[in-house]
Amino acid sequence: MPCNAVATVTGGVTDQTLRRLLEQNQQQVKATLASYLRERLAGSTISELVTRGGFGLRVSGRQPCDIAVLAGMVQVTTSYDRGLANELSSELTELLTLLGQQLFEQAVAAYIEQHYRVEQSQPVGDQLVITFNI
Amino acid sequence: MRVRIVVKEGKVGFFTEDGTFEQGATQIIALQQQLGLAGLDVALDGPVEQHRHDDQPAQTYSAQEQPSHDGGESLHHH
Repeated sequence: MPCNAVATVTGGVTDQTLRRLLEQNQQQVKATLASYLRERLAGSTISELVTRGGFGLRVSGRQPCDIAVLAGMVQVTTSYDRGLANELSSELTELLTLLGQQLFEQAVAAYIEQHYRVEQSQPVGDQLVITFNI
Repeated sequence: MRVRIVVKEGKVGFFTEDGTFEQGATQIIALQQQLGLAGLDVALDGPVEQHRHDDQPAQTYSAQEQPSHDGGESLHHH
């Protein structure tokens, strides 16, 4: 594939940054988790859960459980079904990771647009490509 | 200097497209530090490298010498 990069390097968002972005965007995180849970546990009622040092959701209904997000990690607590807790934990962790990555992408784009003259900022396939002058 | 950032699944690729390698590497490191100061820490996978394809000349490019590109690069192919 043609390319004319003079200098190039790749890097990865740190866990600390992801945690901070998730904490800063609690409402969006809760809305995303709640939307997923409503579909996953149809018929359940989702409400806010007050947790110490984090935030979360309480699922009431046929399969009650508490979902807490602590330091960027999902913690599922239920006395109803351990198998379900493990499944939910895995699914919600994946969801949270994807959301954190989206928030990171948005934050990087916002920073660049705020500080530099952006020529182009657009998704190309599943990537966001931002071209700007520095 | 034109810079391109490619973000995908929590990974970031930094590319400079003109100037010298030294200028590009300096700008990339500065940009990474600025993002870090803004709370967007990026851990680089390695040192900044010079990149070119086999069919491209080895010398430093000037703005007039840049070959065209399609902008659809993958983070995993550099």
